[in-house]
Amino acid sequence: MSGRRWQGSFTDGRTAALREVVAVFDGQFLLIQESGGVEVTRWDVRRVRTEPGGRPGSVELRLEEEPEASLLLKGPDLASDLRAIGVGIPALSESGSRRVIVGLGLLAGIVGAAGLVWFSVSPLSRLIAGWVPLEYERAISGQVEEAFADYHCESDEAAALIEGLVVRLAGPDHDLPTVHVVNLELPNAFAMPGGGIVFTRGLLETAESPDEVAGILAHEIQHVEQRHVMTSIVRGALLSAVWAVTIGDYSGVLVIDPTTAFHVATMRFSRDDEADADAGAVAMLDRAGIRRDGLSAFFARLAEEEGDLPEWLSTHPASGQRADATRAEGLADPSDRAASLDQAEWAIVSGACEGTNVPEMDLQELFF
Amino acid sequence: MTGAGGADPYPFAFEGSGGEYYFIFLKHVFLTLITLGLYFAWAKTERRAFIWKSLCFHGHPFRYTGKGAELFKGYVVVFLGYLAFVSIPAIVAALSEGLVVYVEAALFLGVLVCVPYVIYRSRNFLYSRTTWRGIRFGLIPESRAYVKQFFVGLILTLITLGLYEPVNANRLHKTLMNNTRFGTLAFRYDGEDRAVWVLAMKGLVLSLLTGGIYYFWYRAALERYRAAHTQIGDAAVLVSNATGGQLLVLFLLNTLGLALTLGLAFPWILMYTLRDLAGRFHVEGRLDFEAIAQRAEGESAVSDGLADALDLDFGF
Repeated sequence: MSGRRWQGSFTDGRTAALREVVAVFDGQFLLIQESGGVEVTRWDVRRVRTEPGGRPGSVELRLEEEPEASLLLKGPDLASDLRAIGVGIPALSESGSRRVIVGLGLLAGIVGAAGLVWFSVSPLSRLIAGWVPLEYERAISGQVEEAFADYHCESDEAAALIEGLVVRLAGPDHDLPTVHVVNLELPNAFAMPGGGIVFTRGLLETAESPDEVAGILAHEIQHVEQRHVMTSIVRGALLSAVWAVTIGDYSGVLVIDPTTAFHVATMRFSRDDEADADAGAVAMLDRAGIRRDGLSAFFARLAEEEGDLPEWLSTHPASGQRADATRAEGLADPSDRAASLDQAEWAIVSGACEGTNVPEMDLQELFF
Repeated sequence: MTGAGGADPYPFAFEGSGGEYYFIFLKHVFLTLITLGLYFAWAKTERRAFIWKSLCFHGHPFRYTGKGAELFKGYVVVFLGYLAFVSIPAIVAALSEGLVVYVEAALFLGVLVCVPYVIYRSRNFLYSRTTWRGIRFGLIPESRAYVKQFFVGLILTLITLGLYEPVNANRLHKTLMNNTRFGTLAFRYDGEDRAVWVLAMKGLVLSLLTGGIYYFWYRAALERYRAAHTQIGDAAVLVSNATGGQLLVLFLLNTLGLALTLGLAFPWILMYTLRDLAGRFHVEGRLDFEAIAQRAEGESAVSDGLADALDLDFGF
């Protein structure tokens, strides 16, 4: 192969000048020469590497000791010629159709990996949430709990009755969740990190029977016992880390705002938690010997009033479904079971905040 | 300032293919997922390398010489800094509730103060890892003027309710451009504050009158002005022939185009955008390549990671 020559261009990495050169192989070195045979430099072929990529019909060579210098050779059969003289050539870049196959394989791999993440994130979050003691949870919710504390409006008798209900539902041995009523018109109930449960005055006043309240209470206790709040915090952190890292660099390019897409995706897990809380609540009511049709009646009522929010956009399963799921089916006549509270007790609880001095809470305070 | 010396202009060109870029993207998403995110530094590096080598000046491609490992180390340092930033208030809180507010305010101010340094140095990182014909770009290590203009400009912009902004942008651009080097070749920007401000006011008024459409014509005019006032060495100047219509089309492509294809066409849209960008610019005059020599080494990758963390980089 000695004497073999190739046309090319050369930059020495010391200035930006480009020289048209001829590279001649003398058996050991590549002699790089300008027109007239003037030698610019010589490269030991054993120290020469090929630059990957590059256009067809040309090959870019570099010398290990001088990474900024570059020799671009042009001509047919370059790859085989260079290999013959001892210069390392990387494999030919993939042909078009092979690329497509590999691309499809990658796509399948991505879908598989994504699926794996999707299905493992909930169990994993539940596991991690279980390791966190309730006191730590309480520390997280500190400020929010304090904000609510100013608006507790339940009378002492009502508080005692509600506590009695909690003991009936959850059993006396537990670290029992504390229940408070907050002076808000909006009917709602929720569990807070750390195990506090809050009912709004509005919910107690619009409930049509004590069994509805018992059912909702059982549902919220389930959220606390199943550590749903902590689980969703952990899950949110895990998912947003994975999401941010995978999509992060490309986030400017996705059409759907990534945060929104992320929220819609994670609502699925919320709905699962709610369904689990419903199922647990029913079991709890049954064990306590309380009628469960209060809960399903509540959902049935909600379903009637419910707007057109499609389920996939909601954090809760559709109320109609929840009503069905919690209805006493195939059981003996539900009136066999005791009501949760008698008439007098129910009057105290539903009027828990009547005549209270506590002012109504301004929701805007919560959101600063 | 056109056609000095009668030499042919030196063109830019972008030759990347959307299909190849898409392939790189798929590979990155897959590897990033299975490495639980650790791969992203190498992914970013490979993406930059592809875009850089697809861009040519005077027929010769640029090259990105950054390495995934150095970017990764930079991100690790930034991550540790972030941990410190988050845990210091927590530790202080455990020791003394009252101090926390001051500590947090001090940390926040500290980060704010760093912003222009990070912008400057991450720009230098990017430049110093960019070569053309083996010669490195770079920013001279003189960030003081830039930092000063950044804060003075911030205050003045706030005081003037934004009216100062075009002047501020012009001055920052001037400082950066005058500090930019290609090897030993210097750039010089001599765009006037007044001219730029007038351009901006005209742009503002006409944009308001045309429901925003004129904005693209303003951006094109600004680009042409800035280019025309950018000297390269002693005998060459940058030229842009951007038009408002062109920029409008690019905007529609990058918004509607992406929307209509649910984001799937982004590699081709990006390639088109870059091709269009390269096509609008060229250099006129004379460049003495033999006189352009190599300079010494550049920046560490920590500033790049920091810029990314603070969301100050350009998405590349």
